Amino acid sequence: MAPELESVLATTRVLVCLGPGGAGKTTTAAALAVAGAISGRRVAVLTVDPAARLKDALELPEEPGRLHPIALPEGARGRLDAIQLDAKGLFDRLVRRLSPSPALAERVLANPVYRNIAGAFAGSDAYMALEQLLDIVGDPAYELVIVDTPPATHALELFDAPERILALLNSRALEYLEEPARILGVGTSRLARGLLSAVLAGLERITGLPLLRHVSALAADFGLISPAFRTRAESIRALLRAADTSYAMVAAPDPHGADEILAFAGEVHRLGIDVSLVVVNRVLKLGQAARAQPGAPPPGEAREPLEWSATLARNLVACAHDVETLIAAERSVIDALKAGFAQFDSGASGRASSERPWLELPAIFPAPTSLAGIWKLAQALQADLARSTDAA
Amino acid sequence: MRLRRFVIVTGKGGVGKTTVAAGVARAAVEAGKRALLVEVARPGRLASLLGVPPLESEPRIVSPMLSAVALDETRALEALVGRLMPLRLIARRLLGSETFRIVAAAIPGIAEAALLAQVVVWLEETDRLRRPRYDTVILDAPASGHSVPLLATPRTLSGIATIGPLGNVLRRIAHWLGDPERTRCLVVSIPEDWAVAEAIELYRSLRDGLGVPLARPALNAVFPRRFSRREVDLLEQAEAASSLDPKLIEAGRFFVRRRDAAQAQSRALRSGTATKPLELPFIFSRTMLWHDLEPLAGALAPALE
Repeated sequence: MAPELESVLATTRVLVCLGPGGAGKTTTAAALAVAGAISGRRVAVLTVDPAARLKDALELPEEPGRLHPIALPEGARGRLDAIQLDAKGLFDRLVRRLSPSPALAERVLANPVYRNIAGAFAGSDAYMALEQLLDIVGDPAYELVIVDTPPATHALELFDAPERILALLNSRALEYLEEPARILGVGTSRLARGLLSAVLAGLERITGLPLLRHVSALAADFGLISPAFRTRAESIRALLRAADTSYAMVAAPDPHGADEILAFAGEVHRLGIDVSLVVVNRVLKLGQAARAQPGAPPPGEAREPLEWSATLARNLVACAHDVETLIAAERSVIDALKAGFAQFDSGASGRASSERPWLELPAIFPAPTSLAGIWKLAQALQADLARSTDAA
Repeated sequence: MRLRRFVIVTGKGGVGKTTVAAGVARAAVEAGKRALLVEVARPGRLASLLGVPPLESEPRIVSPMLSAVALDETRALEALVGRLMPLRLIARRLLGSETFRIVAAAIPGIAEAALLAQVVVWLEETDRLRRPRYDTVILDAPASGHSVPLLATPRTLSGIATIGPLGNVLRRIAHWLGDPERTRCLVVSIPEDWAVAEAIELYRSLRDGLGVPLARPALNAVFPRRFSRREVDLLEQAEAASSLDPKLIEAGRFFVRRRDAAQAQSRALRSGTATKPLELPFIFSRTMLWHDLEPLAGALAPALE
């Protein structure tokens, strides 16, 4: 394994994989996890949205939300468990666990608007992934936890989530819910309050839900559980900033998505996140075959066997040209990303660009949706075959 | 080309929806239609594709026949509430509060309904001559995912008693979404197992569950057929020691593999949807700008009849 990658994995307790959607984050997180396990660590990987086939490949159980051992290649020295995020189930379990009494928990869970408001409280899949992470990190069975993140376009969503939850729980919003007209604040006319009540009453009729009553009841009940959620949100915030929490950026060098990748990297930098590992995924490794014989005829003028036609030769040249275009387009995205990071590094103190492992995983076509495919990627990482092709 | 008034482009993240939506817009513009391209992601890729500054929440004219806009969920919800409550100041004050957002979150699909309600406003907008301002509105829908599908919300909400101004809004949306004369939904995927599987599921639920009129399912990023079967055999047999440049052989084989995969996925898509897929060509270019969309527009035009 590349020594820089080895060093990152050895000093990391939590590795968070960030990146724009469609970059193959889940596959990369799984490959990194397998690589870590091969080299002897006790690893857990949290996946967020594996494609159905990937789920089968990892042999994850139908029901998400539980850790499950993953088979490793021969000679692996460590172990790996995987868990698929079950956002809804997790929030329910947390309500039950953190509630001062079982009766209160059941009342909250039975509330007709609970399901939807839970979504608003939880914020997003990103936040629930962090809640799940907190539970796994507490388990001494694992030395390294790798976290896949939802395909959110904005890194901010992940880091903002604990802050938003804390702000919500600390605000007086929950009190206001018990008397909705208070939303409008002191000094609003009676007419305005009347109109608000009319709108909310209208919404009640339309949805068939006695909205106000259920929302008020939920707010009152949840208010008794929220201090425990607040404590967890603070723990999550601390965990994200811990010294042994590292961040990996995963990107696929899609020339048509270059702006998105660069914007994502910029945002991550602006948030003050130190990216300690970059994985460029799905890189075409073509056109690197050396010429078979020196002095062989130039392309297009090859001495062709009888069956080869000029049309065939022309089409081959067209293919080679298109492949060149693809590779050049990919390389320009990779170069732009490298330049971006170099710029971030020159601004900040500390990390030099050359210290940050920069890995390129080859494109596997069709996409790896088998365990063997994930192993193959992990072994590429393990054998240092993923080193950037233009590393000095 | 008889282009529908409302074209919705949907599919899983990473299949090229924005590019395909822009291709539809180009097809429309080339047929002399005035088009509005609507993006939901903020910020999205559309602005850089069109070569314009970041899009705003009001339609901006990009060229004589093309306008573009980026829908803002918060503003759309604000606009919807503004319609329900005559005092707009109040509405804005309401939405400024976390509390109201929670109440709105309690109603499944209300945010999605607000997005569609705004799109319908643009669909129904007329100019001074009382013609539709836009001959076609193309919606680059958010990636299909776990949440209530965007297109399902009117049915979800209007299944319950539909009275009052919100009921009217929902009915107008449902009217558009269900109208085979005026609307088409284009489900996009690429030649990968995971994308095709999801596209089939999406196609079926739209067709059978929601009754949204569908265009042929689109398979994007399809490599061209360059070799006959006999030529493919020759390529496979070519030895490394032959005098041909190995780069050419490798490139040829790469194309054959990708083409074969595309064929196989196309068959799977056809089988899963009982419809002949529309194959959209892979764009070999270093950029993805308006001028790169020509082959895409050409392939899309017949499917939008």
